[in-house]
Amino acid sequence: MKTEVMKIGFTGIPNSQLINKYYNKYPNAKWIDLDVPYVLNPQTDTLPQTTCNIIKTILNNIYTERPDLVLFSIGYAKCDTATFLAKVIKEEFPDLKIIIDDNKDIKSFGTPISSSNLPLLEKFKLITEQVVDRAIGKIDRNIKQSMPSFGFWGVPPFDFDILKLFPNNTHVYGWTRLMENGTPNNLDLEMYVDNVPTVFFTQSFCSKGILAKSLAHKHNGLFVEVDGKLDNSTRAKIEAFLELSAIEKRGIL
Amino acid sequence: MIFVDAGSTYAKYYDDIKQERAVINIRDFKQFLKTHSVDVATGHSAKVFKPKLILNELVVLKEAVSVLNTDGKFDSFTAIDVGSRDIKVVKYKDAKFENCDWNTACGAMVGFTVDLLMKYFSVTASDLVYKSKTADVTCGLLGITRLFDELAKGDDIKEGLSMLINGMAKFAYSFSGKPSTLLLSGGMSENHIFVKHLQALIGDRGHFISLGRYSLIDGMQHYVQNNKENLATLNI
Repeated sequence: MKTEVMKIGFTGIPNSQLINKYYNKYPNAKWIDLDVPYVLNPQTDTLPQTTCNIIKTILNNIYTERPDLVLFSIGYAKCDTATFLAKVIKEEFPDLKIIIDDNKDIKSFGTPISSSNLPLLEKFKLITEQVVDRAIGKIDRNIKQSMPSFGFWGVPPFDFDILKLFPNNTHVYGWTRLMENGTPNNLDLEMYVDNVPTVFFTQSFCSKGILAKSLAHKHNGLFVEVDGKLDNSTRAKIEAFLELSAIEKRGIL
Repeated sequence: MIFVDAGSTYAKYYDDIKQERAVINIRDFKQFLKTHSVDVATGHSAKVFKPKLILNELVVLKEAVSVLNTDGKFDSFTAIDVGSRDIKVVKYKDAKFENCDWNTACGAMVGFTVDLLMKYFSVTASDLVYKSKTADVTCGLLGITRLFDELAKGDDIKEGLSMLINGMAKFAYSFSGKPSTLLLSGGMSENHIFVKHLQALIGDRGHFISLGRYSLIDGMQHYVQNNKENLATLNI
């Protein structure tokens, strides 16, 4: 195993103490979020076709980014598939140091980005890009807030283009809100939504689809399942849901 | 003003000056554009008609029901549009938007599959006789597989097609949430087997209303009439 650690990869939201430990141990290391699709068409023969694109992306990123050490989230804080993927990666990359982390943090960082008036795309970029900075206490919490008019529930999508369809006063719910809060295993917070028209998003082949579908039914929201890139029909379905919800709110019908 | 409902395989157009409407094959769009300048369009192939304004199909479907809703009779409704490629549903309750959905994966290619098979077997819809036998199908492709299984057992082609169309109607009804009152738009509203099976599924519990193949054209007109000020900059 290499002794010099220049690249630290992570998946999901690792325990903040773990992030601090390796941040202090390797202050010059570059941190890489392995959930982020740096290439939009992850190719791997190792995994079944019916695998969530985020899981495929993690494996693809390990091939291409070649981190020296990975903080690998598993369990409810990430997903069961990640537990199995960690096994696969250990077999395929015997020299890679993998720190398995089943994050059960209960300390809340708060969710000012999720409830801000920033464009939804910007919200997701900030939440996903600040995983390490939040853990080491380097973030700006002074963000202008907004009242929610719409909601987006779910994990960060593989294709962020879907986020461009929503107005600024769309609040973030679900696992992405848990990311910001630093508590990725908090099911109660994951189930929470305000009483606004909400799109319940899931990646195809993700077990969180069960939650998304049942919550969409319960809250009369729109269930949306996407595998990879956003297609035109799903785009149109979301646009119609937002437009018809807005028309209803204005009482024009 | 020219309105086009541009589906995946056919486009319906209406010229409100000439009071002329027709269905054209989508592959003939270039020929159509030589003699027509499109103002408003909706549908999967809307962009190729280079309209001044493209409207969302689900929004237009809601507008198509609004045309009929002069006395509050349709303040609560479930409307589906079943065409070549997909199934769309929009629901209102007490004049408030309740939900919408759009199925492109399972349940897709319903109209296209029926069209394809009828042409392949040289059968027209009027040749088919409604019978209640139903195949459980969730998409066009699986439907074809099921049909050929039945034919291999020696079943009659027309009866097999009728069974397949019933199965598609059953899936569309289930996708719409099995409402007691259902409004049907799109090309499949002209298929009497599909319509009869929907009517059978609803039974005495409610009503079935066919909006017809041109309903999205009516919806677009209604939308334009009610949004004249917002659309003024588009010269529509």
